[in-house]
Parts: sequence; structure tokens; C-alpha cells
Amino acid sequence: MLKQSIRNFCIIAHIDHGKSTLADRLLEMTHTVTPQAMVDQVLDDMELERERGITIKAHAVTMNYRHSDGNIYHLNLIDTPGHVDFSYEVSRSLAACEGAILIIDAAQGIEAQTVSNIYLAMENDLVLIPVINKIDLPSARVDEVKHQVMEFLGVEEEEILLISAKEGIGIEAIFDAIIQRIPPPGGDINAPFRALIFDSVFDYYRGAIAYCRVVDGELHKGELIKFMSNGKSFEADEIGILRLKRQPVEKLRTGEVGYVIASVKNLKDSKVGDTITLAHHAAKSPLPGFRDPKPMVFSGMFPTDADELPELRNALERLQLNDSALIYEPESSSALGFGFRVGFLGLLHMEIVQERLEREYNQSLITTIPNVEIRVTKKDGSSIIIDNPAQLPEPMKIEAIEEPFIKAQIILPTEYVGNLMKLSQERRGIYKNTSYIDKNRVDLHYEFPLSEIIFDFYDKLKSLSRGYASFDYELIGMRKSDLVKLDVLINGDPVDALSMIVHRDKAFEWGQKLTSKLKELIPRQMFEVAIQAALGSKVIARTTVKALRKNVTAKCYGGDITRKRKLLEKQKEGKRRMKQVGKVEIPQDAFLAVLQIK
Amino acid sequence: MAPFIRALTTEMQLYADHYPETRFGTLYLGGGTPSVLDRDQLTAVLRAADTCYEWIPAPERSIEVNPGTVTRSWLETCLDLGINRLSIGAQSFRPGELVMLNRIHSAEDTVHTVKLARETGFRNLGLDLIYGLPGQVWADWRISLERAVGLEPEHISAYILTWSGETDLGKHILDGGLPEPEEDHTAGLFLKTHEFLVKAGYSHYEVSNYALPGRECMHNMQYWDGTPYLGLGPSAHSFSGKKRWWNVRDLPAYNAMLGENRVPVEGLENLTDEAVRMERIALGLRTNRGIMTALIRNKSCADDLIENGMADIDGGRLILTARGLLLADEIAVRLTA
Ligand SMILES: Nc1nc2c(ncn2[C@@H]2O[C@H](COP(=O)(O)OP(=O)(O)OP(=O)(O)O)[C@@H](O)[C@H]2O)c(=O)[nH]1
Ligand SMILES: [Mg+2]
Repeated sequence: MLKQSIRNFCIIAHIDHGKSTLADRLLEMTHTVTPQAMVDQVLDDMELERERGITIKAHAVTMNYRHSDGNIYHLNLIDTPGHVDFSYEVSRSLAACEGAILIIDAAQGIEAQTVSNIYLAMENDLVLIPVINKIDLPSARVDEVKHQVMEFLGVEEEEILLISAKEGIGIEAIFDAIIQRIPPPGGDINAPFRALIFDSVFDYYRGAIAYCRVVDGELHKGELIKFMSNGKSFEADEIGILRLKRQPVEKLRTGEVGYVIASVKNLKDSKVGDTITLAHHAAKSPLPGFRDPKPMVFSGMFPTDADELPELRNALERLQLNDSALIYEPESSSALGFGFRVGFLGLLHMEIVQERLEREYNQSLITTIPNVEIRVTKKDGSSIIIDNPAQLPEPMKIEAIEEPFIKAQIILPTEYVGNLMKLSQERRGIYKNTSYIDKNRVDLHYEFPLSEIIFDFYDKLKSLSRGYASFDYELIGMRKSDLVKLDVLINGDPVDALSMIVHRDKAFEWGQKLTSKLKELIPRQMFEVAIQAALGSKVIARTTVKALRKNVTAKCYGGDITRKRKLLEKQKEGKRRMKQVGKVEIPQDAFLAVLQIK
Repeated sequence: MAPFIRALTTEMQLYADHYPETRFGTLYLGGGTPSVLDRDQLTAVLRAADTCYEWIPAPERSIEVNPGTVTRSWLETCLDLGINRLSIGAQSFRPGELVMLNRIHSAEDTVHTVKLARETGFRNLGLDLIYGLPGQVWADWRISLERAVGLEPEHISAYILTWSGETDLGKHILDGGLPEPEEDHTAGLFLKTHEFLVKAGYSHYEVSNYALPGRECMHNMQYWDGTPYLGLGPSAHSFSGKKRWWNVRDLPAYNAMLGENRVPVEGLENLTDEAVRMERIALGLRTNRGIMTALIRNKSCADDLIENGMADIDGGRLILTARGLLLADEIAVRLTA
């Protein structure tokens, strides 16, 4: 395959602006998918993606396109997710591309992730093709949005394409732009083989499968490859390109995007961001890898059944191959036993990880209250970073606590600025400055403690702006705060897995809310259950779950026994999904009670 | 002969050779309303039972009757056929409650039936009662209990009302016409019932059953102690010790299958050892014989029960107290876990 005929690009945008729908049209027009196999957002093939109607994983696919100039082009497309929590997928995808199609919703205009994606693409020196989508909508404000884009990107009106991905309007022009504006890949076909692993998946039979972008040289099936980070060599049993399914080929050449299967059974050997080269004709230096993902929130994940710890470890290891933003390390809790402290890019990420572990890897899990990382300076001058409230030193040993702050960018119509001010005050926000996207839309910059925005900030923001506000953030560092550890005691015993670190001014309110939520979630048991929230030894909220008085079948004769036993079996199964803490049975979801607090 | 009686006797014959070594110890005619059988039908059924199976001398033979539906001569026939125990569906002695429960009999019908039974020569009578009705307080329920005890039955079954949206009563509760019985309140009634009947000389030998000494219903006891039994008739369940099976529900289907000399079995389950253990625990806990402590895996749970006055240990058996009985299902799940 001639480099000149290859174009590597991804589709980037704010959530829901229509990336996957545009991908559908491109796949259709290049006959990559048969009409029978076509469904809406066909690349979103994960069960969770289909259920939620969002893209979670970046999806790469190769298309062959016959252009009006008579040539056939090989277009490697990567559809990316729009949600902030999956931005690590976007940044890795960009590294495999020379260009990006930037979609802007004609009704919404530029939103927060539009901006952050633009910056990401610029950092990677990608050619941007601005595309205004959904022009079919009655609420489309094409001219207005066109001006926003011209202003923001400094482009001419003619460079902006107008399409409706849903209706299939204006798609042909996208192909022209891809071929004319995005340069073919660089790289040296005669240099030693080098390919960057930008994603991978676990296959039960074949081990780790690496998705990579070939930067130099070429690789033939059967050659011995080497991972440059650890020097380990494997035979490339199968190599290929990514269609809707994997399609084996004999060789992969400079500029191409494809996959390599090399019976890598120890999953740690194949790392996203690593460079693959040839064992016998190795490149001198690896390609620049990826910045490590920076987890924003942490929570404990424990197997409901302690015996299943090894399975959970396996599952995490396998999932991590396909979700390189996931990090974890062992932790132990006095209430929940052994498990893992897992870091996530946000709450949606956490929810997705939990669901994937449950569905794809059959794990039964208890996930604990998420929290941010904090830095504690002790009286003796030493300082530690902790990601688990249980690790907080005794108050008397603490000199100061710092928590992560973020820089937030909030884009919304001017009329909602008042509402936003109020919310940001409740969330300890610090106003920085305002700039105008156009006369009706402002781009406000704030600083917030990360802990104030991870839970429900986005939902609140959406509702105070009737859905028009969008939000993006990045970490800016640690700052001192007056934080305290809020403990929960069940029947007098502290349950470490329920502890949280909160601002002193909010401790009382959290204590009240948390205890009353727990009261709702913990079912009545044979004995009364006292639930308390405490700061140190001072109880600040208390409530009780009254003892269960009656649970007995009145009549149980010959014909009732089978039914009765089945019922018991079901209840027993239900109990297995509870965690015994002392004498008290706590349902799985109670450990995440905090997320249900409004 | 009525088709049902023919079917029932056919079913008995089909099982006749299955129990060569067994001598049957009890017979129970119940479920539905066996007192609608006339004397000839009853005679046919009992004759078949006598010819098909071996019996111990003087087996306990019970029949369920509704108050006010039986005559002296019918009762005499029963005695002639060896039926020596009546279970009378009194339900309540309060007219309002009987209406709520959709019963057509009166308290006087119950009194009359008891009197008639005694005169005929029955020495073993049981009264069935229901409590925990919507709006019912202890003073209301005590009236029924007092009147029941006043009739000096050998046996009293006192059931807490179980209701669901499928019954008229349940629908009434759901649409707000009647107050929903409150669990904690009903639990209180249960404990008072226990106290009242024990004081009156009855032993509380199963969750809902009380008897004068030696007058426990032997037939029902066998359900709870794991003795095998043969159930006959539509929907009847049987147990062999390792298997449970049950008959078709539908009467025409039942009759039709037996018309073709086929056993009218609808379903069967083989019990795993674990299932047997679970049943032993769940059923044993309901009775005053309790369960062998050896069956218990969750010892700390058992200790908690004892410490909290919900159970006692006696002769290597764990026996629930009245407060424990109220939580028998919950405790069964915990002890089997
Ligand atoms: N009216 C109209 N709706 C569109 C158009 N393109 C996409 N949509 C709709 O917009 C919604 C989001 O489309 P997707 O293609 O899933 O958006 P996405 O950008 O891939 O979303 P994420 O991957 O979750 O960030 C869907 O309901 C689409 O049907 C369009 O041109 N016109
Ligand atoms: Mg998408």
C-alpha cells in the first residue's frame, strides 16, 4: 500500500455532536459495512455503548474510498468518545492520525469539550477540518455557529463544511477535504520497523492484541517483534487491519493502522504507549509514548465474596488492556477485606468500569465511596499523598491538608450566568474571568476544589442552564483546605469503607445526609442497627434502623415446602450480595450511598 | 360414582403396590372443602384407602370441616370410617371479621359444630383461627381466643393473615378501603397469642399451632420432621425423602389423566443434599423440637440468637423462642448461609 494513498484521521467533538453518526455515513459510502449489518452508530458495538447511546471506547476502522480523481484511498478512521471522562481515549487516538474532523453541532455551537479537543488536536499538530453538523435541525443556527468557528479557529468561511450526518447531506465534501487537506502519513519505509501501540484488547484465546500505528518500516506476518519498553520478543502470529472485524493481512507498512497478535499471555508485557519494533532489526529509539492518565477519583473495589479476589485481579488486568486510563493497586479494608484501590478519570468512568467488570468479567463487586487524592503534611514535616480516607493520619499529627483544585471552563448562554454564580459559591468556586464566544454565549473560567465538582456538579449545571451549559476542567494543583475525616459507625464500630473526607463547613450536612441515606438502604435486620456519623470522637448525626420484628410464613404444610425452599434459596442468594460488617448486613449499594444523595 | 371420586380412588390404586413395607400412620382430608363429600363418597374414599394401603392400629385420621355445614349423621359416618379428628375452620368469633374474611358462617355455627362433634363422640377437635386482620387490636383478637378456648378444643391453629393483591381483602387494603396490617403490631399480637394460649394450657408446638399435651396433629408434624408422605388429589404434593412431586392443579385434567390410568403428576424435583439440609433447618425451626445443632454452619449466628433471647439450646437442639419464631424465615436463611 502506497503511503500517498493513506489518510489517518479521527473524528472529535463535544458529546453528542454526531461523531458516530458521521462515521456511519462514511462507512456506508465506502461500502465498508453491508446494508444488512448497518445500525445507527455501528461502531458503538459495546453493549454499554448501545444501551447508553454514547461512545466509550475509541474505535478504529479502515475504509477504501474511490475518489473522483480516479485513485483508491485507504482511510483509517478513529471515532472517539466525547465525554470528558474518556478524553484519554481521544488523546491516544490523535497520536495515530495526521488530521481530525472537528464536528460542531449546529444547534449547540462550540461547547467545552469542543474547545478542549481543539487544543488536544493542535498539540498533536493535526490538520483540523471543521464541520458543522445537524444543519437539518429546525433549531440549527448555522450562521451564528459558523462565525463562532471562524473566530475561534481563525479559519475562512469556505473551509467550514456544512452537513447533516443523520440525513446524509454534505458527506461527499468530507471525503474531498480528507484527501485534499490531510497530508498522507510521513515516516520512512526503509527505516527499521516502529509502531506505536495506541490501544489493545484482551482475547481469551490469543492474549493481548495490540492496535498500533506503523510509523516506519514494515512488518510481515511471522516476524519476531520486540516491545521496546521491556525488550521482550514474540512472534507476530497474525497481523491485520481493522475493518468492522479484524482482517488478517500479510504485511503492515509505514503509515498504516492495524493490529498485531503475538501470543502475549502475560498482559503486562504489552503496554499501550509502547513501541513495537523488530527483534532482529530493531529501531534505535522508541516513539514518544503517552502521558500517563491522571486519575481524578478513587474508590475501593472489593469482591462480594472474599474468595474471588484472584478473579477480580485477573479481570482488572484484562480490562486495563482495553482501558488504559484505569489504574489500580491492592488495598485492604477492615470492613471489606482485601480488594483494590482503583483510580478513574471521573464518575462516569467509574460506573463504566464497574459495569464492564460485572458484565464482561462476571464479577460481583462492592464499590466504595469515591474520593479525590489529598496531600497531608505531618507535624514532623514529612508529607504523603493519600487516595483513601482510611489512610488519613491522626488529626494531632496533621499540620496541613491540601486537596486538588481544577481550572474549570464553563460555556453557557449569558442569561444563566447568575445561576452559575450561585452554584459556584456553594461549591467553593473562585471566579477567574469571562470571555465571549459570541454575544449570547460566555466562556467563564473558575477554580474549584475537585471534590466539589466530581459528584453532581455537571447535573446541577445542566439543570440550571436548561441543558445549555457545558463544562470542561483540568487539574491545576494542590491547595490547602480545612478538611476533616467523616467516619460512619455502625452499631458503634467505625466502618472504614464508609469514611469520607469533607470540608469542615460541610461535615455536619454530609453527616446528616449520609446517615439518613444509609438508613434507607440498610434493610431491617434481626437486631437494631445504629448508624452514626462522627468527626473524631464527636458524633454529629445519628439514626437507627429498627429491628425486624416479623418474617415468618404463617402456613407451611406439605404443598408449601417446595415454594418455601425456593424462596429461601433466593433470599440466601440476596444475602450473598450483602456484606457482613460485624453483625450487620450491608447491601452492596450502601457503600455508594453518597452518590444517591441529592 | 362422581368422576372426581373415581379418579381419586384410581390414583390410590395406582400407588397401591408402591409401599409394600409401609404402614401408614395418619390420614388427612383437607385442602378445598372435604366436608362437601356425601356419606357415600366419603365411604368410597376411605374404603379405597383401607384396601390400598396398610395402616397402623388406630391411625390419626383428620378431616377439615366448615362450621355449620355438617350433620350429626355425617359425623357419625366419619367416626365409623375411622375419622377421629376434626379441624374446624372457625376463623374468628367476631361477626365483622367473618364478613371481612368473606365467610358465610357465624360464631354460633362454630359453637354448634363443636357441640355436635362432641355429642357424636369426637375426642379430638381443632379450631382454625386467623388474626392480624386490618384494624384488629389485641382486645378484638382476644375475644376470639377466649371463645375458642372456652370451647375446650384439643388443638388451636392461629394463623397470621397473609394477604396479597389477588384476594378481595388484599384489593381492599391496596385501594385504601382497609388499613394495611402493620408488621410490628402483628408481631405484638403473635407474642400475646403465645402468652394467652400457653397460660390456657396449650403448648406452642409450631409457628401457628397449639395443642393440649399429646394432642399435636401428628399428620402435620410429619411435614416438619421430614417423614415421607403421599399426597392425592389435584395439586397434592408428595415426598419420598429424596424427591418431591406434585399433581396437576386442574380438576378436569386430573380426572382425565386418571381416566387413562396415568399418574397425574405435573412436576418432580430431586432434592440435593444441600436442599434437604435447608428444608431440615427451615422446617425444624418452625417447631418446638427445633433443629440439631450439628446442622448449623453459622455458629456465631446461633450464639447471637441465644444471647438475644430468640433461641435456646436443649438436648443438642436449637429451639426458637416465641420471639425467634416470629423471625423463623430470616433465621433459617442466616443459619443455612
Ligand atoms: N437531527 C440530527 N441529529 C443528528 C445528526 N447527527 C447525529 N444526530 C443525533 O445526535 C445524537 C448523538 O449522535 P452520536 O453520533 O451518537 O454522537 P457522538 O458525537 O458520537 O456522541 P458521543 O460519542 O457520546 O460523544 C443521536 O441521537 C443522533 O441521531 C444530524 O445530522 N441531525
Ligand atoms: Mg459517538
